[in-house]
Amino acid sequence: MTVNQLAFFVLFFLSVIIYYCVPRKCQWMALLGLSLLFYHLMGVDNFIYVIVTAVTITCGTRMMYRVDCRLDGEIRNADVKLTRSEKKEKKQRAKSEKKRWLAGIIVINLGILLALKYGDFFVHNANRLLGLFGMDGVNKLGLIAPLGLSYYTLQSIGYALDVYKGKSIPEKNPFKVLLFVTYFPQMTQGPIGRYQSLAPQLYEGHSFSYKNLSYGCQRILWGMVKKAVIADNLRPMAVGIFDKWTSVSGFTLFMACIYTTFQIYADFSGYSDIVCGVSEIYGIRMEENFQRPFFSCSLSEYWRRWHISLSSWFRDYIFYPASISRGAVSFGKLGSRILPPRIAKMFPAVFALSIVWICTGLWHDASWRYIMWGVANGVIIIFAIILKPQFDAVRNKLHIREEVWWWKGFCMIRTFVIVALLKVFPGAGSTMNSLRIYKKIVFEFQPSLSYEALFLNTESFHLIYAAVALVLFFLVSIMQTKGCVRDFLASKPVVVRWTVYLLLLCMIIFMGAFGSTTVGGFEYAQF
Amino acid sequence: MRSFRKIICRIAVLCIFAVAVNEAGRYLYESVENPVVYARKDLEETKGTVETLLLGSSLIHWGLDPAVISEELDTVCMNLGTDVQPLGGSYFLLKDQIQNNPVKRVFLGMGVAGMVSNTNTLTGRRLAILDRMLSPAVKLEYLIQEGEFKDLEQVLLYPTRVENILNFDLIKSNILYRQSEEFQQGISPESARWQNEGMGFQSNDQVYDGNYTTEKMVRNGLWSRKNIRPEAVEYLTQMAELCHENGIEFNIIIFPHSYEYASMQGDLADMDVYFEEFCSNLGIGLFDYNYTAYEGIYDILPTEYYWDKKHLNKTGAARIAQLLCSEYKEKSES
Repeated sequence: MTVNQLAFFVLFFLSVIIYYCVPRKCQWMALLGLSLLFYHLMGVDNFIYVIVTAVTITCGTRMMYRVDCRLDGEIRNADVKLTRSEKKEKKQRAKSEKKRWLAGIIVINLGILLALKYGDFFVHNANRLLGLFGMDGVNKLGLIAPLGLSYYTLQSIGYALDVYKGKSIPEKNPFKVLLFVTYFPQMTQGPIGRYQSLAPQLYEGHSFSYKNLSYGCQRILWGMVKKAVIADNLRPMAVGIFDKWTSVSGFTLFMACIYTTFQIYADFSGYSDIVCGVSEIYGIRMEENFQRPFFSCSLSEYWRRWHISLSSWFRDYIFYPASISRGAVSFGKLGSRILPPRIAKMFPAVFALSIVWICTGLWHDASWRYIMWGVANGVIIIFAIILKPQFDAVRNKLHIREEVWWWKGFCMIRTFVIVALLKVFPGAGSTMNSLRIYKKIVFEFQPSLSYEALFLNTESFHLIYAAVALVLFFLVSIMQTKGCVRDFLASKPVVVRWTVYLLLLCMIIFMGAFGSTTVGGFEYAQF
Repeated sequence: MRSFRKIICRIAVLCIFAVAVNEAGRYLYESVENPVVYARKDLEETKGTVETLLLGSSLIHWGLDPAVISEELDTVCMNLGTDVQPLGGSYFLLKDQIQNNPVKRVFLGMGVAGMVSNTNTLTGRRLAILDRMLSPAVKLEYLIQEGEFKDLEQVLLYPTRVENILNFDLIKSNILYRQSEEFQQGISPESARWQNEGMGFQSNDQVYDGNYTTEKMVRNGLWSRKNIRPEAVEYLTQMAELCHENGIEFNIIIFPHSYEYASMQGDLADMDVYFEEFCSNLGIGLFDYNYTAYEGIYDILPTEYYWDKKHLNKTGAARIAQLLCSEYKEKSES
């Protein structure tokens, strides 16, 4: 069962009744029970990994907190006032003890992730290396990663890091931590929640609010339009072209990149809308995962607007620590020896960005094509930062102001094209194929306006459905830049509101793709 | 309380909307060439009167005439065969019929495919069964047990099954035919490659020329005891128990195929032995028309009685129904 199926909504409706019928202080328990039930219905029978994560996180964070409390007590209750150096020494000792606990948490949880998701990838590459030296390889592990592993592992590690830094007070109750790890709407595909904002909402009781129900349902409805009408109708077009990449022109492949870009966005943001809507009905506000990414003027801005919870996780827990790490400092020193100071100054950031983008690629999938995709994103962003003064100089020379509408439009299209071209990596079936597709796009472009070249053998009705929904989607996106669309809708008479809802419902029912083998799951669930 | 009233009002609006959309969707898009349109009509009209049920795959659906059985056995017989009907589907169809009709006897068509291959993988097959069910509770039970919730939207909202809503030719032909006198009388359109005979039975009067059988066509696996799926045995046993509890006679029919096709299905003589043992253990009646068990079956049902490699045509369906009835009467008298 996935969150875009009617069965999910029927069960969800029952779960809302249960949630608001139990006493407020027990609501979190109901939510935990429901989360485990939904997790099971989504196809997961093995709960051992989430339990290990919850237990290690609870124990580890409590131990770190205990170290902090002990340190406070030692300093406050000391018979003789401690000197500054004694305090420093105690703090140092406490820090290294906390570090050990943190390392333990990270090793166990990251270890599970690495073993289950990346184990076979590492074994495969190790075997190839061994093969070069004529040695026999080892057998693949054949382990299966449970749904949502990458998401809840990052969320849990983020929580542990927050406790380590003293930003959060850890939860004593392991069942509450289990709820934080397994909260069902977001568990399989995010958004990757932060403990400070998500956990208090999960644990506190909520009274029923009609506004939450109404707004939540609107959000779910909009998410379903994106998923069922846009994503599921574009998917056959994009997949169809990539499957036949050898026999189509570079131009058709480029069109497939564009369809994939819209499809993945509609798929993932549709899911996020459904998750946010579902949570809103429980009275829980999730962090937004998207902010109209196609209106970005640069790739770095795009990544601040796309999958925000992941980008901000990497920024806070990898980029910042990495940019002040010893490695970054040494890298900066190396840069200052060989390059002008302006560029050398950026070297620590370049070092951190490189790590972030390799990790981003690897997080998406255990394959070289995703690593290459991450590296390509990183390289473009790094070069954009390094060459920004030159670009600005050229723009100034041409007397183009940054805030002029047509320049902004140009930048948005440029960013969109870059993003679309990078979709070759996820679209192609393998690393080698993705490189061959790039070669084809560059050397065999052959533009044409024929139906065949633009859409290959796609049935025209798929195209019409997707086009209608995309137009609506862009109108809504433009409206969103001017204010909250839901507030705007709420200000209209009930007849107008309900006409809109029922029309959207009709769109989903009549134009949505149901029951085909390509539909059902979400693209990002595989990550 | 105000919120509660508001919510109830909105749920009511949504329910009315869903019913309207569903009915409109069926009216506009459900092809009048779809056998289930007529089967549903027959099921509604004969509710509370059906005594004899024919269950099973397309062999039964195309190949066993309920009118002959009704006449010969002085009963009301309904054909509920569907394309590659999984045994789980047969079980739930039986359960549904028991709740809505005074069922006295059941004939279940069995073959190699039903026992050895996983026939429950396609949504369309499950929908054909769900569309023939009358009780919402049984539908829900079937969905939970067999459909894994996957088909809920397609069961409740017909338009979700429609791929191309812009197919105006289909809409036009559907509207025109539904308004015609022929449709009211249950006559299928001329464009259909079959004729609706009523009581869930559609016949085909083409004659098989024997040219289409290749080994590739036998896709559903070969008979071998080690290939038997435990779920199939489980469902057969459950059906026998259900019939026993409700005082219903339960019979299995092993249908004949054209010789070219049957000879490619593995050790069918062993299948005869297996079913004989199985049926005698559970007190099930067995009518085996397999060529290895029924000598001279191809004299009674030669190639002209088939419309393709395995399905009987209109004449064949009537012929085997007569054969079944006479043997059934003989068995009952003895």
